[in-house]
Amino acid sequence: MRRTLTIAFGTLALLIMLSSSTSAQLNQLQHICSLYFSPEYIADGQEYLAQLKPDQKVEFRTTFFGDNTYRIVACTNLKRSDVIFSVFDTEKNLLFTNANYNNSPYWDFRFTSTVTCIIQVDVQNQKFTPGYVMLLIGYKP
Amino acid sequence: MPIKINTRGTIFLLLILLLPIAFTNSSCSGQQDKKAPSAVHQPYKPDTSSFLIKFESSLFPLPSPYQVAHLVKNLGIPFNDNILNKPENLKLYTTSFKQALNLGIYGTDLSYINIYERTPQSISYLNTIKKLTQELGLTPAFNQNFFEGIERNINSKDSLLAMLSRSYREADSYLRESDRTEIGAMMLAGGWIESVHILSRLAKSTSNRELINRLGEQKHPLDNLIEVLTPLYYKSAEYAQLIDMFIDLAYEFDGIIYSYSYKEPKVDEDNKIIYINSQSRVIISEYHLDIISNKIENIRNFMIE
Repeated sequence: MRRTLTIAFGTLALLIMLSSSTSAQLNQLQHICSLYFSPEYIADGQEYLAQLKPDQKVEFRTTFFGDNTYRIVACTNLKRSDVIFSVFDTEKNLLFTNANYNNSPYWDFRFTSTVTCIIQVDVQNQKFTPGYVMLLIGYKP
Repeated sequence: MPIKINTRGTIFLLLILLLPIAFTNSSCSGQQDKKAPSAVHQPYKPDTSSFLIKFESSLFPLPSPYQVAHLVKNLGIPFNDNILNKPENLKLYTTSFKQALNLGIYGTDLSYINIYERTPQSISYLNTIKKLTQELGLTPAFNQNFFEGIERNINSKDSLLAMLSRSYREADSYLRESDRTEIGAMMLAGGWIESVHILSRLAKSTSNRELINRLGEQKHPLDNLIEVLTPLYYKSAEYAQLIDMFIDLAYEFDGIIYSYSYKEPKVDEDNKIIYINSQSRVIISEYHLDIISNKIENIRNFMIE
């Protein structure tokens, strides 16, 4: 009986540790991402967070308004990994990908006209392990 | 007297203890993870045919309500507090549904007031927001430090906006982690409706073409919002009623004519700026402007009354 209880509570303790470890990872990711988000940009009030698994890309659609400058920041908590983000218009024309620029984690976008875009996010590393990616978007007032 | 614990009892106890952790982890990883294939990760190649998932619970990125306020101010349109929700209405909001909607509404109002540098009104709206965040249990995102920081920066509109947007971001994250995404969705819905309400009221009163066009450009953000809200449809009758109203509004947006032409972007690598040169155009008739404005008012009234 004592052995059963020991195993049960040992498992429980391990799971609690894993859970708090995930939370710590997300806090760390949030911190990393915020470093690229300078105060001159106003965030849109959301964090775009997703867990990636092999051969997955994340996408979402968003509208950027004309005569505005936006910053997109993409980061991951995976070691020795880069986040690749690509911006398409709704006709699937590729407007930009940071893959052509050493996967640099943040870029500014100046829109002359309002354009609805599809943003795709992917992680590039040699030995894939599941992890989180986060995107922040803000505009420059 | 010693307590007797048998093996079955231990397993039951363990299951009870593990359930919340299991749910916490599932809320962090997102339900769509279950659909993940087990194929080997491929090197990056930009295409649109790969297996795609959507960012969990966040399909409604822009426009930020602050952008509308900035646009209105930059066009030289005078401040109009008659278009805002009054802080006195706070007492009407006794359910979390209404509280969350109006937290979004008051947040947009505060950014509008702040951009026009109306400090006394900012304080009143800030107090209203504080009460709502307490009612909704959002103190981890809107804590004492936040309100003290806001009070210190009440005269600095850019600092206040940055702090406010950061706290709404933290609230979004906190709500997702605590499996209360419906509250975050209602905050978004309230914030969006208030920003288009400000747009439509001022577009009609000034006939400013830029405001009218900006209103017409809300079709895709509205579609995104509906996508976020739809999973909540069967939560209760009031959720269903609200979502039906948004869907009805989306039908009217379908009557607006859009045109888009792709032009090659230019990259300024040194300054890390991409110039997106594609052009879009919106044609919205007086008829559609009236219909859309009326429907926006109906939705807003449903939220604030």
